[in-house]
Amino acid sequence: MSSSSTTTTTTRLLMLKASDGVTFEVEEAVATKLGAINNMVEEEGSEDLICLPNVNGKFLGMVLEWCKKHANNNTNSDKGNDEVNKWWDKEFVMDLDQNTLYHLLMAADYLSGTELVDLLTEKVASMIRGKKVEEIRETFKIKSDFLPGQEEEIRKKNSWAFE
Amino acid sequence: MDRLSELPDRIIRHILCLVPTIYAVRMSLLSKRWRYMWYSLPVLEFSDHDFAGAILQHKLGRFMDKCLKLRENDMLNVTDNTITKFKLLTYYSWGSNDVGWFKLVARSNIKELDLYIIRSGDGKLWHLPVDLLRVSSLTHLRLSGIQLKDLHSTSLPLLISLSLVRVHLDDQAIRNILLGCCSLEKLLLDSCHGSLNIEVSSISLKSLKIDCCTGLLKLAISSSSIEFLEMDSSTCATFQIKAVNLESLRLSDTVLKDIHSVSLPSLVSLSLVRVRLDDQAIHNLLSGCCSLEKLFLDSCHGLYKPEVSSLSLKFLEIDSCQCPRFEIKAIKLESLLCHGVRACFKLNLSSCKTLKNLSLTSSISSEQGLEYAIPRLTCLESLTLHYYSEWKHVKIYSQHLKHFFWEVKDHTSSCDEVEVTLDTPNLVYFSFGGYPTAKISMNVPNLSEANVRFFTQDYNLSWYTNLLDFLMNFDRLMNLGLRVDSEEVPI
Repeated sequence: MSSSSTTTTTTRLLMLKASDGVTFEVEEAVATKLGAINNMVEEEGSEDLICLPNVNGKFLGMVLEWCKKHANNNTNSDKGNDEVNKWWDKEFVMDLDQNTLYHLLMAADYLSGTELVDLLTEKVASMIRGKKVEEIRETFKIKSDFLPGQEEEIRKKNSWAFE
Repeated sequence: MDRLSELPDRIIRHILCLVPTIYAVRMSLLSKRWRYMWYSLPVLEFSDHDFAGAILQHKLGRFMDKCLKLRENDMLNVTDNTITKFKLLTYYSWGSNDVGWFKLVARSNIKELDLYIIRSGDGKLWHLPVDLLRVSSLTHLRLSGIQLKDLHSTSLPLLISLSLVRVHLDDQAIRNILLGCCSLEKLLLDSCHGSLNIEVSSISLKSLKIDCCTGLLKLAISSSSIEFLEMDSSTCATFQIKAVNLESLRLSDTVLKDIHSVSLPSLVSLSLVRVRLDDQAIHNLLSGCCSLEKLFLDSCHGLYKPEVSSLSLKFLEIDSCQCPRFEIKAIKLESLLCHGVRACFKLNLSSCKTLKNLSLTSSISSEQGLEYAIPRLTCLESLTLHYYSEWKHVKIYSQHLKHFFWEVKDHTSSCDEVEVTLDTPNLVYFSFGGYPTAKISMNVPNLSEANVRFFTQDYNLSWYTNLLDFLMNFDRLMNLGLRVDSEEVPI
């Protein structure tokens, strides 16, 4: 029933170019959810093409998808919308594999998307909470590079933390 | 390397600040990358939940001690061991001997401190180390479940936000705290019971929230900086307020015995929800608000014959306030909404000459009768009568009325015959909800839209005849909406 959500009035469009050459056309209000892009827009003013050599197209697309969702809700923010946003965020991070999570975090951090960094770090934190060290090692496939016996030594020295 | 270890230190620290500190410490066993990571976390969070088994307090205290000492001593492996935020959640009360950790925290330039003591094992409340209230780097302090009595000097010059939850206070403590926090902008008192006399005369405080504080003897606020004030589920014997910059005030579920010395010259909006106060109190409150434009009175008790008298009021909503008579003297009033008033409720509308919007529900009656009052409300543009039962026969004469909403009865109750005569030459919109037995005669040459909603019980031949008769009134109308509240009525 409702028509497309794109605003009809004077919305400026920006071109974002990822490291692999993929480009995205996005509304300024969406892209400026990212602090880094907001700074560039404010500084450079007229430049409409922004190159982002540190993010590849796949992950830039995901970051922008998140921005679009959250920029829309800025205009008519109310409690109901907040609730919808939370659900959307939950789904967004639900099935991310660790490789995607890593690249998204790096991209969000590089682009200064503070809220998205918060969402993703919280996702990682939730994968740590409630687990024993060995379970954490297993979850994230972290290899020990301690010399034989060194780990035992640390454990002994810090026994107060392992009671 | 694995993806987690590949993240830059900054992001790893961000993640580790979100989990209880014990996880970060234990993760030092993972690899060399993780060995000293926790030393430089700016946020530390400790809780009894971190440990299993008995003698928790002993373990937790030792753990915090070790953590803080190691961080302080081992400057070789970390460049910055500043603690910005320290959070402790515990079920136990701490004796003065096991607060070594506290001294270390106090030395660390800490900005935010959150001590949450749920219920001390022996029922005693923890006496806060006096030094805490002299940690000059603190900007945010939240204390829960402790005792703050016989407090002498306080010096928290940078403190911006203070929350005291279930804190046992006395007058001296609260006075010294307010004196010693010269930058305080936000104060929350939650569940701080007791016969307190609170005098707030801060020049920095912007927001004050009082929640579940029963037994307050006196709350006297005199502050030019305060912009937000809320009081909920509290009782206060004497309430005095002078706040030149306060624009909005909400009091809810609160008992206010005596209100005086009110001066709120900037207040625009006032909400009283389930507040117990008497006629004198509301009079004193309103007489100190010379710019008030919006007033909401919802389910207030203790009123007998209150008088709402204001030279600035534009919008008044009265909901479920039971009192035999309500006097309204508001020469600028534009909108008046009264609903859910069960007792006999007499309304005096004679001074409301500028009223544009009037909405009445249930058994409210106007002093001289609405039939007399409405033609005299020369600005009236919109009139709503919901389940309004003053008369069976309503005659409405109004020169300027544009919108009329009429809902006869709840459709669960029995069918009633009502009759309305509309002499409203400028009416453009008419809305009706009720039974087709309602009789209507109208002089409405400018009507352009009508919405009719019928409730049904037994629809038989006479129901249809009535329906047709009713709809005949609108035979020349282009825009008519019709709805029948029933599943099986063929039209």
